[in-house]
Amino acid sequence: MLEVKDLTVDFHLLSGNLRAVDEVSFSVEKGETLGVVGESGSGKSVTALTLMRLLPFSIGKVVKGEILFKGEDILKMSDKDLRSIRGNRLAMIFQDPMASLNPVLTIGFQLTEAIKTHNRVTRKEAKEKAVELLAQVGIPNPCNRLSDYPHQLSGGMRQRVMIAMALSSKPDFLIADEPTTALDVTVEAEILELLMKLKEKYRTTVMLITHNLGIVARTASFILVMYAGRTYEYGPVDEVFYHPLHPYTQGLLNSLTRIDKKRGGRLKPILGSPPSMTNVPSGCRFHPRCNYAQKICREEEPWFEEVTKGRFSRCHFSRDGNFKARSI
Amino acid sequence: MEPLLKVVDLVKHFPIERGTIFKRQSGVVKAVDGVSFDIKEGETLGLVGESGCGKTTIGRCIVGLERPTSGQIFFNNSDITFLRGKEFRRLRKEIQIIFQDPYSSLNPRMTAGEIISEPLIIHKFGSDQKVKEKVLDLMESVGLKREHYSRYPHEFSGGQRQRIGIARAIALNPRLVVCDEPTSALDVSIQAQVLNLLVELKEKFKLSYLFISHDLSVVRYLSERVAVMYLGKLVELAENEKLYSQPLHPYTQALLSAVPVPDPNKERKRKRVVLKSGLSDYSGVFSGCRFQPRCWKAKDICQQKEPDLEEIEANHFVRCYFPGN
Amino acid sequence: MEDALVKGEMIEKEVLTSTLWLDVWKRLIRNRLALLGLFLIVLVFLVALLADFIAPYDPIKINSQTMARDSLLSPSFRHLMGTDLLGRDVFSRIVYGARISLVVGLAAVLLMVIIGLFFGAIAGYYGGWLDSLLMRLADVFFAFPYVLGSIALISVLGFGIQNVILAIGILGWPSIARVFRSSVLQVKQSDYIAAARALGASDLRIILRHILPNAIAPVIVYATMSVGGAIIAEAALSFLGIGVQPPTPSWGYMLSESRNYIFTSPWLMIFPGLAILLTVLGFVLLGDGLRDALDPRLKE
Repeated sequence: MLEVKDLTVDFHLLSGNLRAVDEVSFSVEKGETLGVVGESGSGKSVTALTLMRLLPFSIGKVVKGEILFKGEDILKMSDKDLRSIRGNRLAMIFQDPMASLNPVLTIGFQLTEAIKTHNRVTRKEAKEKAVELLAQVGIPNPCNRLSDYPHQLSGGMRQRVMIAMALSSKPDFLIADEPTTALDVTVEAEILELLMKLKEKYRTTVMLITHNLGIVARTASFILVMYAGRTYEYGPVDEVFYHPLHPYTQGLLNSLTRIDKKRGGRLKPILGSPPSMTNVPSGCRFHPRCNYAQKICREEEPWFEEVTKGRFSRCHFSRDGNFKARSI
Repeated sequence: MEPLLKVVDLVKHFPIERGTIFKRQSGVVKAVDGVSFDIKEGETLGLVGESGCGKTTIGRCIVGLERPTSGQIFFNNSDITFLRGKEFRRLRKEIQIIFQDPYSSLNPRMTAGEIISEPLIIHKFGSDQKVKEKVLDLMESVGLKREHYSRYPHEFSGGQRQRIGIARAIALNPRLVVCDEPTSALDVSIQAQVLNLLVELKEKFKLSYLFISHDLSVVRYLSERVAVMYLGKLVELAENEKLYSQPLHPYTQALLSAVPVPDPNKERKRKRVVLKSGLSDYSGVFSGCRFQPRCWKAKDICQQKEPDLEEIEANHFVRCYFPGN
Repeated sequence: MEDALVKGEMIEKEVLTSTLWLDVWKRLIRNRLALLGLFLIVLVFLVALLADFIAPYDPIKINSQTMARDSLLSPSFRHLMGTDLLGRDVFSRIVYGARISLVVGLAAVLLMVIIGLFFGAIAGYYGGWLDSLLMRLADVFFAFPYVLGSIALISVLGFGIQNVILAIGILGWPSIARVFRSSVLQVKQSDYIAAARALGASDLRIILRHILPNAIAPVIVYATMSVGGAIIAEAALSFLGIGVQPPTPSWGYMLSESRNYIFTSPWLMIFPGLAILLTVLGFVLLGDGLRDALDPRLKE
């Protein structure tokens, strides 16, 4: 469905250039849900924006790589083709629905506009469709909500409207960038449930970007772990959660507070903090924080390689599993 | 033993005002609507709830950043609700606060050293040299390096900034620290570091915490007892293990079932309690139980009269007519 | 004991470099227009400081013997900018006029800033009725025509350069107060203000230590631009004859004198006009550059 090859994105800032995404490759099969996990600065959101070609020209620039969507390279598409594919087959929802909705237009107007750009329908039909979509995403009294402005809705309701807009074109591929981060847990659960229900119904392929491993466990079939602009681990969710290959993934899982774990004992945090992208560590980018770092890790960057079938990891020791205590 | 902190029937209403010169009140937001609890010496009480439930306001009332509308706050048996001037200032040594946002809670024009020494200077700790030594000690306790002393906040990562905020809060050896979502703005791998630090400091300096958070898993890790808040009122209060293994209030049950667990198998097997979408109207008039519009158990009585917070089992308080399953 | 010594040494070694202002400076000098502004200002400053060495003639003295011969000469190598009716060298008068313009501009703005910061801080920090009162007072000042206000004030205070400064300063504070107040309101929301209050810091300490350094940036920008405004105000008052009194060389008064000779001796008008224009431009460009350099949104 989607194949990303060697995607590299540079940012041009006053303070200099930095590489936000560095040779990122992955693919998503039809009907699957890929959870993309990473901390701030890992490049996960930039990757998502690049997939939609929504990166602001002034600062971000794709240096190399391909994004093949059903065999076509999104990066090479003309603006016209891009417009038809964006929204029509490829849709995105963002973390902050308030920022992605126009505050001075009603929900109904924005939704019917979205419907009309992707379907040849009359005003009336578009309106009926809008009501139908709002009902589908679980908004009570959808007829009355059409004349509401974004600020009159709660955060959860706004995110539902965003989902309705994304669905207005029955997209094949949906990118959700931290869709529930701004919401309360109970609302988060509702939105995730809704997303998964709609995914089944429309057979949409989903790429869900989040920092929350619990959300990945709940929704995704595959997981991609990113760190410092690079991919670090990829595989089916169950395997990665129960047998993580990369020390970073292990560290993430160990450092979580869990609601299903009794009190007592200490957490096992990862040392240090994520690197600044203007000053990327040599060798393996995770080596300054790794419990198993050896001399080679500082000197040589490992490849992102297939360790066992369908499972990738970027670590010198993933293949033989011969992790020794940190010696640098 | 008398508790260290005792909050009795705390109420905080925020008036909604219109007009500039001639202000008139056009409504009221009942942020905190009659909350009582206590914290024992050396205890961590977790206060959880969703955004807008009033948990942060409670913390700010205790630290003296907000004046309660009514109710009383006792610290060490003396009423501190409306202290002013000297008395108020003296109390600052006993109760401190750690903020959520490590970016907005540090003055960007002051160095880490200046920020941490501020409480010491305000409360006349001693000579410049003594203050600096103490600051360096504090920095060591929270895991900062000496060379960080003269750096500005923007040169630090989020986790380090939060360490500076923590050092500032414990500088005067307080007995109670209000932690207002201290880890929710941090990266996953950093959260654990800060949580471990809080546990360490609690033992080292014999602190008590009021730990405010929306993250139930963090509260589970840290707290001895947990209070759950919904729209300005406590709905459940119990010991940690009790609350997480046998939640009695429907809201607590819903909250717990909503939190994602990083375990795919468990996630597949879990049953989720589905709530009706909330009316998030805090200024409105409630009839009966405030959770009733979203509750799947609601009966007639729930609409008529609000239930009291009752002690159903020893040390397990619930505000519900139909607690449990 | 050793530990304490190490600490002491470490403290001694510290070099406090305010990287924030260093950043601002770096961004500022990358802006060409701001650099031009800075250049113009430095130039005017140098001229004012070194007036005694630069000016070829006495700017004030009238030589009654040669007056008739030297009157209204057009620019030449002897008199770069020509001479005025009384035979004085225009270039020399402009060089000395720079002193008046800078002194009046800077002093008036300093006065404005002092009054404005004081009232702005009180209005923004305490809010409530004090805020309403001060801001309505500011409105009254705004509603008052500037020139009319100055005329009224000067007629009460009397002529003289210090009274010109006083008038411009007193009439100019409301804008500064406004700018500072809104900046204070914004800063006041920050958690570090709450943290300082929770530590028991006094209001004075909070305002001076926490609010002022973080809220001052827009005031610096506005004040820089206001120097230009104050220089124009001085020129306008002098033009009207109630500012700096002759024979002291003031650019505004020189313009006023040139009125009757616009067509016959245009240099009398052109050079003081240019001097005012370039000086004001310098301050406005610098202010503009400062605003961009101080804007935290452009930081990343």
